Amino acid sequence: MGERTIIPFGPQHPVLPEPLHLDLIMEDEKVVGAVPSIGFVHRGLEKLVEKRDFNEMIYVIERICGICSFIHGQSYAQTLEGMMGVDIPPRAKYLRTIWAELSRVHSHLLWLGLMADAYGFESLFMHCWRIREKVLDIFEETTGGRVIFSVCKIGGVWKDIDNDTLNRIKVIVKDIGEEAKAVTDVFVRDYSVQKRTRGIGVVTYQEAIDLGAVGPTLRGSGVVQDMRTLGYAAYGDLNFEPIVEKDGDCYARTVVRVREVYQSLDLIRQCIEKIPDGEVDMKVKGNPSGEYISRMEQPRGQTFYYAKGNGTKYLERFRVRTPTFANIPTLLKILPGADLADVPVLALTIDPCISCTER
Amino acid sequence: MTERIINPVTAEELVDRAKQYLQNGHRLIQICCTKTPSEMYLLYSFEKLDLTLENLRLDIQSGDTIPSISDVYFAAFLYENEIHDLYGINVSGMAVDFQGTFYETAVKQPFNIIAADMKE
Amino acid sequence: MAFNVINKTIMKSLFSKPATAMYPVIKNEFYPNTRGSIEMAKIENCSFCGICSKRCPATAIEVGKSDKKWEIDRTRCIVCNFCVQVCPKNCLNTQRSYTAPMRDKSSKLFTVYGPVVQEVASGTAAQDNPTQVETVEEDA
Repeated sequence: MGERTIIPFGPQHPVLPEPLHLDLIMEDEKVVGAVPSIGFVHRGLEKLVEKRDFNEMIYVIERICGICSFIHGQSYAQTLEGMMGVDIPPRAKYLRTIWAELSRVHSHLLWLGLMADAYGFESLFMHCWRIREKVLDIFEETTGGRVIFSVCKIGGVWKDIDNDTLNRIKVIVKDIGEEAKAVTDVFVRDYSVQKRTRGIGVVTYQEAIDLGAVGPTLRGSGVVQDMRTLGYAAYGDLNFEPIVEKDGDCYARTVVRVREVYQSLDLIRQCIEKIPDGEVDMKVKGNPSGEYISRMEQPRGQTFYYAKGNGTKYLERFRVRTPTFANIPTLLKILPGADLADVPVLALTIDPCISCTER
Repeated sequence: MTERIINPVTAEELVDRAKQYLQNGHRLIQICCTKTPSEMYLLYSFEKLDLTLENLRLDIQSGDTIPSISDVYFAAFLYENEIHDLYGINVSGMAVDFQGTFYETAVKQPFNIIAADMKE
Repeated sequence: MAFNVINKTIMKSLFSKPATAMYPVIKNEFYPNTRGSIEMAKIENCSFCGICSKRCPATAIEVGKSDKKWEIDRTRCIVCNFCVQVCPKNCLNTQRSYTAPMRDKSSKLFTVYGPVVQEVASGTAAQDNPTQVETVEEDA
């Protein structure tokens, strides 16, 4: 019967992209329980809808998170376009899809780098981020910013990409795919990486459904669910299948994300081949009123947006439920029974984006 | 793209409706509280694995007590702690009760005060 | 099971040039679209309507109609480009270079005054002399 001690994990930790605090109740080297504590980055952004009108609010919503910022802006625009009954031009839908898939590639490459850092493999971390720089250069060339794009508006997008640049992006995307092969092979085939990830943090099929997991955390346990099959933006015209792995451990979740990088690169190539010509925005008149719900697929899982307007230029409520909020019960379930040295790997395997969680 | 089915419900039948949704195979997506000058309500969202969505709407007043559904859906305790800290709704019987320390803010129940009430 | 799969990448990066640039010696090149900072390009066309000030999400712009003043607080501006897009006279512009770091907040405001129009007795065009007060040091 060992003695119980409490070890604090976070809020500052080298593997965490954002502050999260866990009180780990330990018996010798094994974790017996965990108590989470969040709220370090709570800014109350949902309350700002009362002070900023619905056109300016998109700039606030984009800044909820730095990693998944474009998809938040796209979802806000899509929710309000649904509420006001506006159908945007097809070229704008394809452009938004291209930027969203590039966003997914950059987010997964960032996560792969942090995962390598979690088990001490720093040179792999640097190589993943070196490949990610090419994606950020594409963003800066087409939208003006590397992290926050400010390119979505209600009714379309502000900037267009001409066909020469699109063809150049196609070539760059192919190069990224080839360069990434050598680096992602290490995650999938290397012996010492597999020793740190196989068999750790197992979540079975039924447990993943009961705990309410979303995204790659859910798909790594064998459940087929991907919000992109709903067909919003240009996804109705593209062919892809949700990527699923059976084992439910950290290795399966890593493989899901690695395969999603290649799937996104392929989706970008499909979009560039199919993009129609035309204009990219349209005028939207009037004020929003009524309610609307929309769900989208972020790199981390399913997000849920609910907006309510009353006919004035200020919205009454805008609710954002982000995927990490739904994955926290899964984290609390996989921690008991693990060694202390595995805790950073387990905390990262659900891909925590805490500034999204407490807007 | 969305099923905007919103069914009204009262506080007494809330736990029974949640059990029915669990038996049908629905999962809990989120619990949202909205406060406007004229009304205040909670929105519970449930979704099946084939992506069909249904919602329940519960009308309340500030300071009311409602039963918790975290015996049925374990993940609900996070949402209920959040609406307790931000809006001041009391929830009885949560699976994990943070007792007001989930979000520690300088002003207690910040979302309970809406801009129309504050004189600017 | 494969051992040391990373060797291929290590060999390749051992014999190629580094991926990072020596920053202070080699400066970065920005793209034409880069959003660096907002500038008032044509103060002569500005009608001081104040739309840019009302629409700014960060409340960084102040416009004075009576004394023809246009002022931006560089530390509050988030470079979202909304003011540039809503200006009805197209007098705002986005520069590529970022605002230089500053040691204290005394030089955070950038103020431009509109042209002073003088009545000339012979009825020819008014004399423009826009005065521009720059209280911030821009890095070239």
